[in-house]
Amino acid sequence: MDSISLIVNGQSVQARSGQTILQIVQEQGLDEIPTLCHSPDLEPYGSCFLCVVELEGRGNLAPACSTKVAPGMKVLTRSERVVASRRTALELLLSNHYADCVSPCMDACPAHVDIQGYLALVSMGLERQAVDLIREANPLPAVCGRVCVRKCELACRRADVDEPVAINHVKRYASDVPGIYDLPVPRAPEGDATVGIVGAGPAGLTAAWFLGRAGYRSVLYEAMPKPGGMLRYGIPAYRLPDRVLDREADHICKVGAELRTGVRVGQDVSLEQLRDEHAAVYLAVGAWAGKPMRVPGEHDTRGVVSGVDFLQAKAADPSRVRGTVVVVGGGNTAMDVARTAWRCGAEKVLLLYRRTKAEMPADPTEIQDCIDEGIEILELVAPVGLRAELGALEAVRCVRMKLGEPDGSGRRRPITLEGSEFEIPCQLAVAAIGQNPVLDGISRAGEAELEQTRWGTLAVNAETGATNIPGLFAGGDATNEGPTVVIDAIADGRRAAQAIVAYMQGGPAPAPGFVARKGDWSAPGRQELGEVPETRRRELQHLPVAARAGSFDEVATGFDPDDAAHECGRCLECGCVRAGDCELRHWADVYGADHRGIQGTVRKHRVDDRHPWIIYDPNKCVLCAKCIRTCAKVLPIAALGLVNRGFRTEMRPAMADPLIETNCVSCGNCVDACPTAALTVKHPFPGRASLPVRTENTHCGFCSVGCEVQARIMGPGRYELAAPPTPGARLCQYGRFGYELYFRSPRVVHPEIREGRSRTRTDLALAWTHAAGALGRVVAEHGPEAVAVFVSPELSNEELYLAGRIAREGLGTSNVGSLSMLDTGQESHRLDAILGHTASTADRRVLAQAELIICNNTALESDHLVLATHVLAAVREGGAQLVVVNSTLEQSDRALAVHRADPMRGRASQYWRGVLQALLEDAWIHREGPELEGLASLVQDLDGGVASAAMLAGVDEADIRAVAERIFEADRVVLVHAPDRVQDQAPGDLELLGNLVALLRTMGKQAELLLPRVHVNAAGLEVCGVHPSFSVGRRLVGAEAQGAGDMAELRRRLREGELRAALVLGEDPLAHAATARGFEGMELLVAMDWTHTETTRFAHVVLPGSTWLESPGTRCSFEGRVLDYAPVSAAPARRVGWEVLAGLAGALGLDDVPGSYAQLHEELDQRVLAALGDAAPWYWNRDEARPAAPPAKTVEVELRGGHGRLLPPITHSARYKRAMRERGLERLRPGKH
Amino acid sequence: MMDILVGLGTCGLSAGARATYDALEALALAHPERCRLRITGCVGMCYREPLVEIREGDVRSLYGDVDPALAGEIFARHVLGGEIVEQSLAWRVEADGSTRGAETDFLDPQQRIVLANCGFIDPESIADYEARGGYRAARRALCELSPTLVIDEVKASGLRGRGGAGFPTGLKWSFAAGYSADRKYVVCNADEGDPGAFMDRSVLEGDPHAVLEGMIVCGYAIGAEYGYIYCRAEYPLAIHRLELAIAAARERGYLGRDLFGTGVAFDIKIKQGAGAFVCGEETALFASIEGERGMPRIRPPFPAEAGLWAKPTNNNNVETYANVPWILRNGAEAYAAIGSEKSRGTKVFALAGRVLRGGLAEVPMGTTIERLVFDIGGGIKDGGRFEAVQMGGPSGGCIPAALKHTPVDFEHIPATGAIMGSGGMVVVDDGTCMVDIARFFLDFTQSESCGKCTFCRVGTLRMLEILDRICRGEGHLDDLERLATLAARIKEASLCGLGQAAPNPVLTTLKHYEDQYRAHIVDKRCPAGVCEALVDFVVDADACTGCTLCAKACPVDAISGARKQAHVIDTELCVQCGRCISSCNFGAIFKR
Repeated sequence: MDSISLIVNGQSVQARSGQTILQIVQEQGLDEIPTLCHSPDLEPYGSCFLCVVELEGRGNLAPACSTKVAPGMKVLTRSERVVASRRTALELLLSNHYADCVSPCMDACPAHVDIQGYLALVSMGLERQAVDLIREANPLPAVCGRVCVRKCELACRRADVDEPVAINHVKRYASDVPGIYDLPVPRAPEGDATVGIVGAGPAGLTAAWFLGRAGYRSVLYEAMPKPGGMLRYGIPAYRLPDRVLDREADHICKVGAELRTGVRVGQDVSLEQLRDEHAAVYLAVGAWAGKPMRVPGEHDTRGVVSGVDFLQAKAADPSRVRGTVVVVGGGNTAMDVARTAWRCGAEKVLLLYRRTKAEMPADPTEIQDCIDEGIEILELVAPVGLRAELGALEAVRCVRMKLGEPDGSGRRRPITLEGSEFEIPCQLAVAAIGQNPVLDGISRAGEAELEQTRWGTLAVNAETGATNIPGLFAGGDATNEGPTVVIDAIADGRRAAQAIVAYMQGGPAPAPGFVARKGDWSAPGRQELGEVPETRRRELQHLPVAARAGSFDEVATGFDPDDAAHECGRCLECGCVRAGDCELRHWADVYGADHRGIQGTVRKHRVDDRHPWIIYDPNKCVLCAKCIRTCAKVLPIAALGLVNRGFRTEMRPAMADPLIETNCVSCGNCVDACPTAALTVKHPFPGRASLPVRTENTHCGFCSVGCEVQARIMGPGRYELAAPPTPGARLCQYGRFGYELYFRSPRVVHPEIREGRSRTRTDLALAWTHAAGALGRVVAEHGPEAVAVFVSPELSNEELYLAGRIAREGLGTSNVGSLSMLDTGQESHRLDAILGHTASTADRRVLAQAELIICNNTALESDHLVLATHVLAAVREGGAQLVVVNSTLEQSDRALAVHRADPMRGRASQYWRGVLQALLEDAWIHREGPELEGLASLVQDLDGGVASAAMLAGVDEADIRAVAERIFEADRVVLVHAPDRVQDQAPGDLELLGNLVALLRTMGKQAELLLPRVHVNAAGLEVCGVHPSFSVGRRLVGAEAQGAGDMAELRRRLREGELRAALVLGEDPLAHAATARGFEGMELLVAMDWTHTETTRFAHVVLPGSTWLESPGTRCSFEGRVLDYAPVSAAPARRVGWEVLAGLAGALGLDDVPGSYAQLHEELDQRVLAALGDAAPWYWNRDEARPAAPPAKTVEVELRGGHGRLLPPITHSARYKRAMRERGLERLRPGKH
Repeated sequence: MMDILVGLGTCGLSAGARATYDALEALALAHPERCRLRITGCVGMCYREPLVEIREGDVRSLYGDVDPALAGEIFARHVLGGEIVEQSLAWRVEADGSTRGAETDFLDPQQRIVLANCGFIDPESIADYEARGGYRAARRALCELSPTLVIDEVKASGLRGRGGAGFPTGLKWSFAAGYSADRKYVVCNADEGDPGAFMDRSVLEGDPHAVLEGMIVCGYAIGAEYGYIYCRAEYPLAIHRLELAIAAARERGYLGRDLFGTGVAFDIKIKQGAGAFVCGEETALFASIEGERGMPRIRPPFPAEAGLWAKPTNNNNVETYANVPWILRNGAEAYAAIGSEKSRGTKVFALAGRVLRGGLAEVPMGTTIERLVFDIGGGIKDGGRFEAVQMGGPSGGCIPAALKHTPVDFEHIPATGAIMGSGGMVVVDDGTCMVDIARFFLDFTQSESCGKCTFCRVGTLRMLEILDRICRGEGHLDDLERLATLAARIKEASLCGLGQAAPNPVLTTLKHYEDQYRAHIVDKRCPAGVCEALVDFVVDADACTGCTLCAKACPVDAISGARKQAHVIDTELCVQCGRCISSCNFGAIFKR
């Protein structure tokens, strides 16, 4: 291909002609160009216009995805114009993107804790992961779980249905699970740059945590003897026990924070010294001075204290309080004071508030607790003076108030009622009406004065916590608007840590990420939420009031697992499941898009969840049409399309029907294509939240195409399967959604032994001995030929191998095979004489090169959709012609086939015989082709000719000749035949197709045969020795074997009741009358399976098996490729299939069974390769090339005119049939040809 | 023997020509010896339909506004009596070629190549077409010229695409000729969709064979055997006449496997469009023919390389093909002699809007707007003031009265910010709000966008919302900049012409009529009195006689006042339906 040189961003670049700008920029890593509608797997489309670039000398911007490079082209990928255009494109898309990136609760939480995520994790029983997730944003989950004001719950949409989810209680539940704090956390390395943190309260601790996680150590300077700040000294222990706080503070310090208590900065050490010692300093000193009541004498009367001082004193020493206590204030501190005083034995506690309870800022549950504990709340009362005797408080003088007009805070202003003055006699008055910071000694750093607000707090940048002095940051109660709640301090600490890290690294502080909110337009409301059954919110259990008096034991006792599960189940999961990997959001972040400037009409749609597995949320669709175009790669007529025009354009299933009612085959490939969350899948387990996942690559275990799948693992037993993120990777309905089966089906977890009607659970060792003993007794009594082993073609090669060894070596019988194969009645070596091997002659890639594809007895779309997509691509893109010979046609057959033939059921062999003869008569002999001795007389010898074949097949002779003509015209022919499919099976059909391949190859054409199998490892059976006539590596078993000589005989033995005992592995013969009859008279049935079946129900011994998602193993694809399977999920029985079989083999006396999977596989691999020899590439291929097609085998035949060498029997001539009868199986034995 | 021709184009039929024809048919049947009744297409004088022509040899008398009664009179006096009905005579050509009549100003300045047969021949008669030299061009091309020579001739004529972009036709043909493929296609774009444009329809209805002949020549020149005419289904008469024409041409051997005995094959199919404006964009048009949703595709590859069914394709519009037979009959030089320097030949314009004579006019390229609007169009209706012409439909723009001396050709029109377009020319007077007209066209493009690209799908709506806001009096001055920025972004990052040109109506009005935008935004006033929210209906107390007619007419009882006292309109209640204005006999109610 020609090389082209062009200039990209001033840099000279070489490209191949025909490449697009996007391709070379990506290939050479020149820049990152955003795209939404582009996929390397699809043709350029050009709808999102994010990928625009500037081309010198061209007025318009060009989409890089589709603009081909040209010599001398000058491209700018990041000019101002380009960036502005991309940003506008994003803003326009977002201006019609009615969606919530994150849930409203997460958005409302000042610390942005992923609430939806941790609720989902708790619902899965993953508390540890849930707490880790919380700690990503908030290192004090146990603290917040007790004292948070829960802005999240105010935002909770569940409130539109009934009541908000009890989010905080679940957080407390998760963080109280024992052992949550035991696991180690990574410690920041020793380094020169450390951070000094003044104050070990919530802001300081949080900053230390996030600094440590970013790799920086810090020193916490704490004036008090213990860390926690107001958490410890302002919140009483009955709400927040010290042990909870200690545990959390200790955990935080593990990341590399050194705690120095009893150090008051500004007194014991100066701020200036801290600045010298540390790369940055964070001031989180809190607000420790109570606000005065502003009544005369409050500062010099004994018995008048501030709330903070009172609580601090009682935290250190909860000594007795006597007499009547008056508490002034309506916030949480006032409640804390009142309840502490009550606990300390006050005779009476009165709480004064100048407004009513409804206006109180305190948490309603706190107010209720006060009332429960007998504290009297006097509403509309304010203190105006004190009465003291000898400097000691005697009474508080009060006035009554009424409520006037609302003030600036929106609450109604209290107005004094004249002449309402009265006195409350008391011994203690506590003013809990707010706090101020104490900035003594830290108000300046050297020469520089720290800027303060008019409220006497430190003035800082609200986004970064930066003060006016570089390197000096501040946060928490001491800054800006002053004291607030714990979660705000935590948010401050986190933001400051990020800003400090950026400061130390010399970069800009990270900008907050893009978040789309439905609230940008309007809150969704009840109607949009749809039908949600109402449920009651659960509250924490509380200690009875009687138990609280005099005690600082925690009042709220927490949730039990059922409460937690109930509340998690109430979550509506408002946040987007793809918040973490949404491409639209990613680019909006990168380009700083803000759609609010051009906001206008937004389209609101109903979310369509009528499909059993796929959810379509049109609100999130960006009309990139990737789903539509992907669908068109899977189906000849896409199930998805666009409707309407202009702004009203929408992606919809065909005819706007529900997706499930269209020609959709539920393959889910559209979901992979979607760059946003317009198309998502339903999980078979609760919790749709976007969660951190681990991925594991394995292969699909549903059919022999063996597609690569990626498991996205969300936790033990919770995973989804998807196509791997490689361009062009696709799955079918089974591969993507079939795993639901393993969530729904009842599992065999314990081995069981049945005697009579009673079943007993047992352990594996006992089950092994029991089964081995019972089998051995039958062998001893009836001989090895009376015992059989039946094995599922879904098991791994290693399991098959062990099954074969158990039969041959453990039981001494060659009665081993698969019941699935018995039923189809086919023999697995039918092409050996013709092609040298009975297996696909190539892999699926040959389809792309085919000129002619012939499908005989296939239902590719239903059985092997991914193979069908290769056929579709070969026809659409490669120009191949498709011929289908089948009694039923699928939609792709109808749409794509140039020729469709429908021989009568069971007569396809006649059809192909006719085609072969037509080729011989018309094409090969009369037109061209090599001479073969005896051919002319053979053609004469054919019985009946084309006309007879046509008549027997029930088709027109012209039909046969037309197909022969197409075959003759094509140079590269691929035949596809599903040998296990019974609908259009015909005796001898595979041989005839083999003959056709041989004939075409003799004619100099490329001809290949693909044999897709229904069961995933059908091709592995005979390779691994699960076959009466083949041992490992398809080695023919000699006459020494006891038992059936071939499948037909095994079938006969079963049918005629000659078997006395059976070991059935993964198959369910008792569910089918045809096979069940053979089991009726058996003495013993041993079964292994992963799920309960009819067979396990009646088995005498049941052993637990495992699925392909649980055990390591290999399987052979229909192309003979050895596919690796990795465990994605743990087997419920804790032992996987091969381990169970190995144990059984051991119990049967096989003492050389490998003990590890790796050894087992190695042994099998070596034995198979050694036995297969040159034939290995067809049966045991690890992606190596197959040798060139061997020359077609010829055989010596006797003809009317004498002898000749010919292709193997081309037709069932009388002579051939006679030879078959005479020689029988002998022809298969080595050395007999 | 006289020929009586009744114009039975869509414009004639909608003016009642069928009744006129029926009336004449009855009369003509009674006098077969004197006259023959025939049909013809539209001569372009749509404002005088129904038109009836009495033709005796070269002498032609064209009568306008002929209702059945007048038809009877004309038949009696002119056909039977030989007397000219002067008061209804629109146009008369005497034997010496001189003309007279009321409409000489409209017809005489025209130079007719494309419309030469329209209104002259019976479009349903191939013999009529042949009699005017029809199919001689195709015969000459196929029998006497090589494909290269045909392309050279078209190139030499200077013919440029009449669909709007003005790409040189010969050059385009040479591209498609340059690709070899097993199949090639000739496509005729007859999806005329601009509001106010009806040139192609008239040609298809009045002279369908000219289009077929142009396509045949093109097919020969580029080596294509298949032709498609993509015609909107809203043109049933055009489709009917095309079907008749194709059948007749096949019968004559002008279409089929062996054209003119040369062994060359070419045949044409009609594909009816379902009314999507964007299908006028060629790649969307191809998608539509292929049975897909009509959506533009990315270029390159260009249609000449991979167009319809991914085969080399030449696509021109109706008028372009209709020029081709004339060029091959009369020679490239004769064609090149007409028009302006870089825009050769003639152009058909559809005059519409507030112009006095609305219809089709074909003039040499380079004719000024003024000549078209005033000399041919007769100026503004109802005494209005000429304000602008809107050219190019939703992709075009407004050219203000101040630029009326601009020659109409491919060089000068784009310089004003408008585009040539396919020939729609909507005349606008001072009663038209320029913001509203921009909004009208943007609304059209927004709802006709195929919805594929972000900018066109969402961006045009956001612009429209700003215009809506301005028209409601809720605009801000920075909206103007917002409009300009969005417009620039939409233009430079849209896939097809529809999106790239969608902001043009806004940009040209912003350029020439920023004062009107400002009046809406700053003064909260619509100078033309069109934007409802910015207009109040008021009663001129001096002129009001208190007749109460307006109060009776008002459907919402917003008008009050005692009999013989000046009335008042409650602007809060008023819904601005305008019934009061039309009911007032004293012109006392006006918009403010």
